[in-house]
Formats: sequence, C-alpha cells, structure tokens
Amino acid sequence: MRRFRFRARAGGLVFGSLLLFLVGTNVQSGWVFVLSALLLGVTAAGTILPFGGTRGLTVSRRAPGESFVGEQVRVDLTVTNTTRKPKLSISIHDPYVAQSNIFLPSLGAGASVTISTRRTAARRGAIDGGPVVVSSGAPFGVAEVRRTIPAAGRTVVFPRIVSMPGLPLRGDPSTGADDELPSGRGPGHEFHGIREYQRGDSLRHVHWPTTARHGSLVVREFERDRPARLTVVVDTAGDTPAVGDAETTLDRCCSVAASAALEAVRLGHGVSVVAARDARPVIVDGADPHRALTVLAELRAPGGMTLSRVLGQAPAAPTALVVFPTWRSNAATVLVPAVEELVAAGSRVVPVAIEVGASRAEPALSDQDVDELIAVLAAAGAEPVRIRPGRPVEQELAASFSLAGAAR
Amino acid sequence: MSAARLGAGSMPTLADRRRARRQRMNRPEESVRLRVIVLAATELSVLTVAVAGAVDAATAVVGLLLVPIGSWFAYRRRRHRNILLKVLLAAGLVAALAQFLQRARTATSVDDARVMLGGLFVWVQVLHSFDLPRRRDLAFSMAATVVLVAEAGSLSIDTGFGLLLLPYLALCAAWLYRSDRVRAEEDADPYEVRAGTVKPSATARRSRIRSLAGGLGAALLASMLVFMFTPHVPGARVLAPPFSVVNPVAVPGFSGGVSNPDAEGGDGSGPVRGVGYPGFGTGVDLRVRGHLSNQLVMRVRSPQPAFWRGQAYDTFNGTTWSASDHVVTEYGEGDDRSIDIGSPETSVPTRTLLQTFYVVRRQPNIVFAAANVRQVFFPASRVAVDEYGSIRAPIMLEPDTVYSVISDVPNPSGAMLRAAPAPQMGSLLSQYTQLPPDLPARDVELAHRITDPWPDTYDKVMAVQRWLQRNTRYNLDIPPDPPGVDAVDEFLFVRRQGFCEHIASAMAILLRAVGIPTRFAVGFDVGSHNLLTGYYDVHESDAHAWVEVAYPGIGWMEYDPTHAVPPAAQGFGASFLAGELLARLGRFVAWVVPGPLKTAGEAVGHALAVAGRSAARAWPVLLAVALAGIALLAWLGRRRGRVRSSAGAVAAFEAMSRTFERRGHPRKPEQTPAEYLRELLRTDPVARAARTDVEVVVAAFERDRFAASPPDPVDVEHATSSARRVAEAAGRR
Repeated sequence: MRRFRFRARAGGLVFGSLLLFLVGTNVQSGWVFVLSALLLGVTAAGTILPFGGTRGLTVSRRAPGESFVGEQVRVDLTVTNTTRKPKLSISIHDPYVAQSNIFLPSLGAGASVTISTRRTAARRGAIDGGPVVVSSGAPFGVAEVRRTIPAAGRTVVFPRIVSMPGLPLRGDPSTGADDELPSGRGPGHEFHGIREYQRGDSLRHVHWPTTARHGSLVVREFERDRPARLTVVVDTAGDTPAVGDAETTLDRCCSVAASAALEAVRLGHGVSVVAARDARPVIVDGADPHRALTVLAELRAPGGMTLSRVLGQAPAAPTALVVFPTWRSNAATVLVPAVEELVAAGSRVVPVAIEVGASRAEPALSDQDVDELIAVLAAAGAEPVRIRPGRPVEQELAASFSLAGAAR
Repeated sequence: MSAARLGAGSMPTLADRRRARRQRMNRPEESVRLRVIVLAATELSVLTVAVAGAVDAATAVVGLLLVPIGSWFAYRRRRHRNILLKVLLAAGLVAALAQFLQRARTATSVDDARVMLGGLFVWVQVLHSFDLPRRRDLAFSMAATVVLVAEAGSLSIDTGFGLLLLPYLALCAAWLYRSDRVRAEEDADPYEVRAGTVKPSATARRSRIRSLAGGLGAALLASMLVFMFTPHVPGARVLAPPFSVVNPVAVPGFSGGVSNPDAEGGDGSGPVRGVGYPGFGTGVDLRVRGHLSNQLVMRVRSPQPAFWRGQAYDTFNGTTWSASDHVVTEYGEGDDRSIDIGSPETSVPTRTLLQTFYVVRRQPNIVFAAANVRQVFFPASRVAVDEYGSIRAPIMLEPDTVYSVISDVPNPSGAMLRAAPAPQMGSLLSQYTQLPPDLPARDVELAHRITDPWPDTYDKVMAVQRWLQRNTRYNLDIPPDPPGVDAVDEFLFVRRQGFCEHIASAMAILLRAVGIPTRFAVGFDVGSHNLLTGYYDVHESDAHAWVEVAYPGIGWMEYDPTHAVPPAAQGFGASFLAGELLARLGRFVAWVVPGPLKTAGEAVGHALAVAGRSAARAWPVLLAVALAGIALLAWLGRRRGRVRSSAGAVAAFEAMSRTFERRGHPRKPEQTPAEYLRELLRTDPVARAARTDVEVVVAAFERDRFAASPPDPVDVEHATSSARRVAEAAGRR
C-alpha cells in the first residue's frame, strides 16, 4: 500500500511561486517568471520523484521469539534495493516491539543492508509480524511517499518480572514442609533427556532423529509434573486504556502473576495459572513456566467472566494468589464469599488488589470501598495486599510480604 | 484489538509529536554542510543583486564580506541566547529601514523603489546572518535569498542573469535535499550495520550525486514546462512607470522637428550611411539600398507585441515619402510628471498598453511607441506631437534613457472593420489619397483588378495585402531603380522584389488608387522576444515600414504586408510561451533543413495530417490503443527496472565460478550447478575446505533459478558472504 502526502515546504514553494508570478505579472519581468516557474518545477519534480524512492525496496525482519517487558530486544532489518537505481534518504518506521525510526542516507542499486536495532519491550503481548513503513521524500523533501511492506516475525513479550522475596507459599521446600515432592523423571511435560527404548514405552515418545543416527530405538524422557502448590488467579474483567508505553492495570496484574509464578517454580513448586478468556477459564496446570508466561503475555480484557466465577473453577492448591484490579465487579460483597470458600477449603489466599487509579475506563471502587474490601478480606482469613497506583509493584509486594512474614 | 497491535510499540500521541517538533525547531542547527549551503546561496544572492545594479558596489562588497563573518559568528554562538546581539541587530534593521524610507522619498517610480529595496534586502541578509542558531533561521535566510534573486531578476534585462541563476538553483536543490536529510537523521534511532554498508563510499557518493543531478534535471524539465505554460497576462497597472535619463543631450533649436544624425547629408540615392535608419526625419527615399546593422537599439517591456511607431508620411512623389503637414502641438508635463496627450477617439474597443523603453543605442528625438499614444512618461518637461501622431522630444534618445508610454491600441474585430462606412472625410480624403502625378495607369488598373471584387474597405485592404504576399518577394539585395522611374511601379511590374519600404509603399499606393486613405508609417518592428527576460530586444535591423489605413469612426489601423502582423485579438493560446517557443524551433529547423527535404517533409506531414483526421473519427479505438500502449510500456519499464531480489544469489554464484575458474576448474556449459558442485568437491581442495560455503552459494543460486519463489534476502546475503569467503580462501592458497 502506498500513501502520499505533501510536506509543509511544498506549500511554501507553491506560495512563493504564486507570489513571484504576481510580481512578475506586474513588473512584466521574464526572469521573475522564470524564478516562479523554477519554484513550481521543483515542487512538481519533488512531488513525482519520491514515488520512485520507495519502489523496489524489500524489507525482512529477524527478531527473537521471546522477551520480557523492560528488556532490550534486538531486531534486525534487511533492506534490499531490487532496482537498478540507487535510493536516497530512505526512512523506515518499524513499530515492532517498540517504535523505531531508521534512516538510510542511500542504498545502491541491487544493494542490501542489514541493520540491527535495540528496542525496549514496553508492553507484554504476542507480536505477530506487522508491516514496516518505508518512506522517502528524496530528493527535495517536498512530498513524501510511504509504502507499507509486510514483514514477518513473532515475538512474545512476557510480563515484567519483579522480585518477590518472601512470597508466602504454604509448604515451601525451604521450610522443610512434609508435603514436598522431589523432582525426577516421570509423566510430565518438561523434557528431561533421552534413553534406550524399553518395553512398555509409548511409541509417541520415540525420538526419531536420534533413532535414525543410532540405528536403535531411542525415546524421550520427561520431568515429572509437580503438583501445583500455588494457584495464580488473574482477573481479566477489564483494563485501563493504554497511554503511550505505560503499563495498563492488567499489565500490572500479569506482572505480579508472572513474577509469583516464576518465584514459585524457582522454589520448586508447581504452579497453576487461571484466568478468563473468551468467557471461559483458561487453566495452565503444572510446572511449565514457559506456558504460564505465554498465557499471561497474551491475556486480554475483557475475559468475559467475573473473578468470583473464575475463583470457583480454580484448582485447589495450598496457596492461592488472586490478582485483580479494583473494579466494582470485585466489590467486597461479590469477592469475599468466593475467597471464603477457598480459605474454607484450606488454601492460603493472598488477594493482591491492584488499584485502578485515576483512569476510569471501567467503574472502579473508591478508596473507601477498597479499604473496606481489604479489611473484609483480612477478616475472612485471607492475606490481602494492596498496590496503590503509581507505586512500584515490587516495593509494595515486598513490604506486604515482609509484614505478613513477620506476622506469621 | 489484535494481539499484534497491542503488543507492538504504541504510536506517539499528537502532543508527543508537537512537543518533539517544538524541541526540534528550537534545537541549534549543528550541520555545517547545511550552513555552508545557506552561506553560499546568500553570497550568490548578494552578488546577483549587485550585478543587476540593485545595490551600489560599496554595499555589495560590504555585504559579501560581512555575510561569511556573520555566518561563522552565528555558528559559534548557536547555543547561546544572544540577547544583546539580537537587540543590536534589531537596531541595525531599524536603521536600514529608516535609510530605505529616506531614500524612497526621492523615488520617481516603482522601479526606483525596487532598486532601493535591493539595498534594504541586502542589509537584512547581512544582519540576519549574525543570528542563525536554528534550522528555521537558516530556512528564513534561504527564503530571503529568493527575494533577493527575484529582485535582481526583475531588474535584469539580459540573459546573463541565467549564469547566476543556475548555480543558485543548484544550491537551492542542495539545501532542500540536505535540510530534509538532516531532519530525517535527527528523527532516526541509532542502529548498527550488520551486513552491507550505508557509509558513503566513493561509488555511493558518485551514485548519490548522479541521483541528485537527475533530480535537478527533472526539476529543470518540469520548470521548463511550467514556464512554457505560464500565462503572461497583463498585470495591474503601474501608475508611476519609470523614466529617466543619465546624460540628456538637448536638440539644438528644437521646434518639433526630428533630429536624426543617420539621415543627415547625401541625396538619399546612395547606400545607407552609418548604422542607423535614415528614414526617421524629413522623408523616406525608396531608392536607398543597404543593410542595417544588428546592433541592439533598445529593450521594450510590454505586455504584448506592437510596432514601435516613430513617424508617418502622407505624400509620395514616386521616389520619396514625405509629410505635407509640419504643424506640431506641444504638450507639457502635468502634476504627476506625465505628459497627457490624449489618444484619438475611436468607436471600437481598445487595449491599453503600458510600454517601457530602455534605450541602448543613440536614436533620434522620436518617442517610439505603440500607436494611439495617450500618456507619456518622459525625462523632459514637454514633447511635440505632429498631425500624424508622431511624438518628438526636446532631447535625443541617448543610451540609458528610460521612458514609458501608455497607448490605447484599437482592438476591433474583422466584422467591426467591415461595418465601417466608406471613407468620406473631405480634405482627409485628398491628403491621404494623394498619388504621384506620374504614376502609370497600370498601377491604378492593378489596384482595381485586385479590389473591385470586394465590397468594403477591410476586404479590399486584405485583398491587396494577399496579392502582395503572393506576388512579390522580400529581398534586401535588390539593384538600384533606373533613373526616372516610379519606385512603386518598378516594384509592382518589373522587379517584384523589395523590402518593407517597397512593399508598404506599394500597398499604400494601390489602396489610394481606389480611394482608400492610407499613410506610410516608419518605426521599429516588435523585435525579438527574449523569453527569459520578457523584454523585446529591438535591433537596428528591426527598423520597419508599414501602412496605416483610415477607417471612419475607428481611426488608423496598421497593416504590415511584409509579413504577418500580430493579430489584434490574439486569443487565449497566445498567453502562453509554448507557441512562440515552438514557432522559433520550427523556424530554426526550417532554416537548417535543405529545400528538397523540407518538401518531402511537408508531403509526409500532409499525409499524416490526412491520416490523423481520418483516425480522429475513430477516437475511442485510438484512446483504447493508447491506454493499452501506456500500460504495456509501464509494465515493461517496471519489469526492466526491477531486478529480482535474488540478483545477489546469481552474482554470488558467478563470483564463485570465477574464483574456481581462475583455479583451473571452469564450469562446463552442459554442467548443472549441482554437477559443478560435485566436480569441485571432488577435484578442488579449496572447495572441499569451504564445502559449507560452496553449498550455500549453489543452493541459493538453484533456488533463484529453479524455485517458484526467490530465496530469502537473508539467504542471498549469506550466499554473498560465502562467495566472498571462498574467494578469500582461494586467495590464501
């Protein structure tokens, strides 16, 4: 697709040309007419020439498959001039991962250049390709022609990971709790290694490339899935609108959820992540952090279910971390009964209330309502954490967890 | 909203963009190249106004010296606020403006003010050059150079101005390119080049210069087209047109007569003496022979062409035209320093023509102008006008004399002229229908034969004109007339060749023979229109004679039987320069092409015209064919202009083949790439050592040649690198 627009200087040149024409008409001076024609001629040539400036340019993109919010992502673009004429002043705008503007002063006929840019992933999400906009106003910058070129690439940007010292987990291996299960080979999803085929092994687990090399059957072995000790529930009922590169409330929720999940896995616990998507609960069970992170990266609002309904379908676990924005749908009257059920089932429930703040895309709870919610949740046996808007999540969590730890 | 959109970098808001723009505009300009371009353009513009005479030499020299100093100073101080400097510059500007206003009081015309404006603009440029911190200040400086160059252009009356304009245009193009590039570079994020290069190598620089030159050429071509189709319509009336004289030379004992140094002495039967036209003065002797020089006499600024009329004669004695009436009327200067003459009354529409004459070579004391002068702006307090509308000045037209004239040129249609009543003007009829007493009867008979079939004056005039154009030939190299013969009779019945004086005399006499009042006018032809300056360059050889015919109620109308007179009503097409330019090209081609070839060309042209007329009837088919042709050409051009993205793969394979060919393993014509690869791996140790690279190159080449889709650019890039590595490996061995 090609778009065209005049730049401000085109107006200046045309205005100057008309002015000179009027002057020339009044003083009957040929040279003033010549000057007027030159200004208009430059405008005309500067309008037509950029069409050739982007013709025959191809762009391919190479980017890593995964990244975390806040990380620098290296994105390589290969720009090729497939024509027999050099191109001047090529601007490339690539919004992949983060807005990036690249300027190539010139690109020779048939030449190719691969340029590498570092971009900071500002928001979580799965980025599937997306076009690159190539523009040129060469040689006079009078007008600009933009061409949109599709470019491949897929990068999943995982939520921001914050440190979570003191994450309250029941049966923490470090505490020597009796319900700890040692890790080892067994039915699961994590790849452990390969070994010779033994009778009874499923043919689905045969590793054919190695089998072909060895000449005998070789099968894959998997890590035994650990039972989930932590269930992380994320409320996807709503989200605040994205402004610039700032994280939305749901981004903050996912950040807390992902950080907790990774911390739990690091401590040797299995994790389940539960959230609503398309009016159905999505449950990622087991100790596969990659899958959990991918789901959290791709969560969108509205999920189509209230948090209380999602909690009702969450798998039981010793600890339940419930991350939710302070929407009205999470008022004490609605949320507390569901939490009470979890507490009654023997789970340690840690509700993390992410305050929505000034933005009011969805009806949010007032400060008094949030105070009341926190108080009622605490009274119900939960260990609520309140994260105020604009405050760093890690600081708020660390403060709450240390307080909770001291209380225990 | 899709995940891709949400996950992608979000677009900056309008406020962000505005903030960024504001910051960018207020940022000091760091590009030295851009500053150098602006400096060069400024220097050139000052030089241009100096050459055009818009500023005195001292101002120009000071300007040329101060502008570089100011630019250097502005660059050094670009990051400072320079409050004191700004105050000083403002004071300087006020002083320059005050000086301009003081001088403007003495201006007698708009032209004078233009010259003074030049000085003011130069000082503005000089002062502004000291304060150019930001890019927009540089842009303002460039805009000011356009004003200066336009000022110079408006005062330039020769083509030499183009020598300065071309480099100025190149500098403007360079500024447009560089400023756009600097802006884009500023907006861009840093990056690292992994493969290929964006650094300006010598080849890349040459290629870039070629591209820029191409762009400049395209701009010139577009400008030429724009210029050709620029309507040259008459502008608003300038109420104070210019007039001046540098060294006035008074005509001794001026009493309304003509003083012509080139017509003095001799009996008129010899060749032309000197270079001037001897016909201005007391009469025109048709026996005089010779060529006039091609020296420039004057430049005329006029919205449309006309004859620059000098005098008219009413009496012909067989060899010489003269004036029977020597009475003159004097007109004095009015309050507005103009001399009001009052044009003759007419019942037909007139076109007001403001002409300004810039005298280059000394001329008689005749105020040349288009017919029917109404008002004269002349550097003298009075002028004399004879009964034939000829204006005489009390001073000679010395070089550098400038004067302006407003004429009301009658602009009747053919129908109006046809409707004019037959001449019944009493004494006028006898004065302007006078014939030489010895005029042979065959001249009168010829006049009747030509005109009798036509009922009215207009058609009779046109008939005579047509007859002369068909039956006589223009020739400056004609022999002297035999003694005692009537010059017109000799021309019409014996020689049938002559120049403007003979042709115009013949027309006047033939018309008089049938009772149509005529007079013989002399002056200058319109001259050559300089397309670039817009002025008519009138040369000595443009001295001309034509006929004036009286139409009752309308007035005297000019006819030029020597060549086609510019039509009174020119039509819309005449507003553009394209016709004139093409006509000139045509005349040039006609001049250089031999006669037989021209005849053949005309025949072919005629045949083509006939074919074209026939084809025009089937225009839908033609249109369809033309569109199909354009589409085909566009497709072919696109195909030709595009190299497959895999050109690099082919190049890599060819480079690798050359490497092994040098090592004694050329690819046989019948070998497929895969066979060649196998042979290389079998026979060449370098190929074996660089097996992976060789395979990569061959795979990319095969994919390019045989696969449905071309290889990925990254693969092409790898193939190119591999070919290079193979060459390096071969070089090491």
